[in-house]
Amino acid sequence: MAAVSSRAFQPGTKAIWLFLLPGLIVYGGVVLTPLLGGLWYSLHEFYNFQFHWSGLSNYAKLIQDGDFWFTLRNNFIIIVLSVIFQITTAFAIAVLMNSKMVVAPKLLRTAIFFPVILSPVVTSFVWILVFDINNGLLNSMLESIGLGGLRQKWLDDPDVVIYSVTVALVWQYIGLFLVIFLSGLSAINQETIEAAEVDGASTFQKTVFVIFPQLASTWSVAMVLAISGGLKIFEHIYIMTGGGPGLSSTVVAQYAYSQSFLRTQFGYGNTIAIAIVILSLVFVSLTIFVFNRFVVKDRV
Amino acid sequence: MSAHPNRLARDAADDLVDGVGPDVARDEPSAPPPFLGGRVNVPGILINALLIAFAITTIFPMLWVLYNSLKSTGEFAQSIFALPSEPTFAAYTNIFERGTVFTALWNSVFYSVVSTVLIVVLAYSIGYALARFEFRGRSLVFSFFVLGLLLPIPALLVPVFMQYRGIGILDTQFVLLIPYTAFGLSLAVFLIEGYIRKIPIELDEAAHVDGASLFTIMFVIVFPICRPIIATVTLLSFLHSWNEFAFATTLIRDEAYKPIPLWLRTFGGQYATDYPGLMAGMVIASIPVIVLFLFFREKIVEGFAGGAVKA
Repeated sequence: MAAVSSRAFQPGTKAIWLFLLPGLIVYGGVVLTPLLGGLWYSLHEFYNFQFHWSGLSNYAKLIQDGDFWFTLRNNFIIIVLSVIFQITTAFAIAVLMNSKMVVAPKLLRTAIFFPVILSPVVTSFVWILVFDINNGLLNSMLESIGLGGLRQKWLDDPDVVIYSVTVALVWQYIGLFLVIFLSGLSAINQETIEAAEVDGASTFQKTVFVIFPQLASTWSVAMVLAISGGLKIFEHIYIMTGGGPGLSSTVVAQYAYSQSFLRTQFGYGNTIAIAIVILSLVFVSLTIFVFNRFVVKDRV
Repeated sequence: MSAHPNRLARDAADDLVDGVGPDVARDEPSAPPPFLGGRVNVPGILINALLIAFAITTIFPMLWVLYNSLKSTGEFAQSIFALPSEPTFAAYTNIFERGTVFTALWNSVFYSVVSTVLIVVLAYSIGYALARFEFRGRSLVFSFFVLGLLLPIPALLVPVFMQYRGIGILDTQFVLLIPYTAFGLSLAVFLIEGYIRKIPIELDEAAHVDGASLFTIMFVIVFPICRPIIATVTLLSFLHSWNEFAFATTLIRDEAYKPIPLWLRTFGGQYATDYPGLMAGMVIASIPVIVLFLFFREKIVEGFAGGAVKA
């Protein structure tokens, strides 16, 4: 951050903290103390309605817990698919919209963004209705166009369900990535694109060699969002499938939740929670680092 | 160029539309963009068709929910695609007769309005202090709020539950205001701090020289300039609090305090086979956000884009 130079009208330090304290107290009460509390509880086991000190045993258990790794794998499936389908599609649409080929781009943007503002509970029910085996939109559509053979138990088949919930997530949030790329595109230097056109660059060449490098930081933002978003998925899966059948669509946040509230292993639940926080911070820092280090710096 | 990043973004968005509205495209069919090679614009038509088809998939499911909520259960069973032949509000009157929805709506209004006001007041005072004052711990406070944007919030559900259970504030009228306000603060502080930073500090100094108190500078001089970003923060905070589910389901069991998403989830679970009923519930839960979106879509889109880039 740029340094703020000292100002004549600046009040004393105590007065400044009066500005900050109310917010910091509310914020700390939800972010800082639960983090520290969670760390503390994660070193305990919960039985007989009480916490008992157990050192690092929960973490040892976590590392050997196949179910935890399985649920984490589900998060990674969702992240990889989001990066491939959500970010890439959003980028492509944004570039097309910027290329002046598209009729009514503003309307298009509004329509694609629309699901972002809906509650996860509402969109989850939307997709429950779409995926419903008998009265669902998807199976009925497949039936009516003669592809009844492709009907699936979208949310009840353990081999399919993780992809079904990913579709719901990609659908809801693709608009967010679209507007991020659009705002990135609106900031890049249009002259470089025109210069490339004058030099006879194809659409593909322009996109890859002119637009893409200038959007490196926007890509970094999108990747960070997809990764941190993919690690904190909870509501959609909680409502659509409850993590089932079995563990097949359970993600880490849901695993922490069910270990705590269904199995009353509050110590272990906190351990998983802390693991998610650490994983998320590690992957986000890694993404930012990789982008800063290896991808062309933007801002011409 | 103008001083504010958000205005820049809006200008750019307007340019986008001004330059390529439907009229322009129709008026100049003989002059497709140069990279199409000057032939008949087949790729252009294909791409537009594809994008329109895609946009329909994002809009249609909610429309489908809307018109099916106007069917009787019998008519829904006959055809899930057809428009209702005899639209009926039966599903809605059923919900209203049960009454629980009114409690939930009131709770949601309460949580959303109060947390939004708290977020604006707290974030403005923090944002102003961070943007204008120099003090030790400034960057620490700033990073502390960055952390909130990066933290996987659902991971905090279990620790927050344990902590609030310890204090004994689970299942109360006010408990949800704490997480809603706190998590709204991160983004709000960012947006407001960034905005104030773009306002020339000479303005504050001139007012100071003229004898204005800090209070006057903050609220009479700078605050009105910040109205666009305050509007964005208000909209985003309201939407977020209205839609939130994870904390609600963790901290609230009592029907009396359930907000609308939690009500919908309970309702949807109980009446799983009453499709038009469930759909009517979904419509009721979404109407406020859809209305806000229709009126303020530019501001909302801008806020989401700006917030994400800031993060």
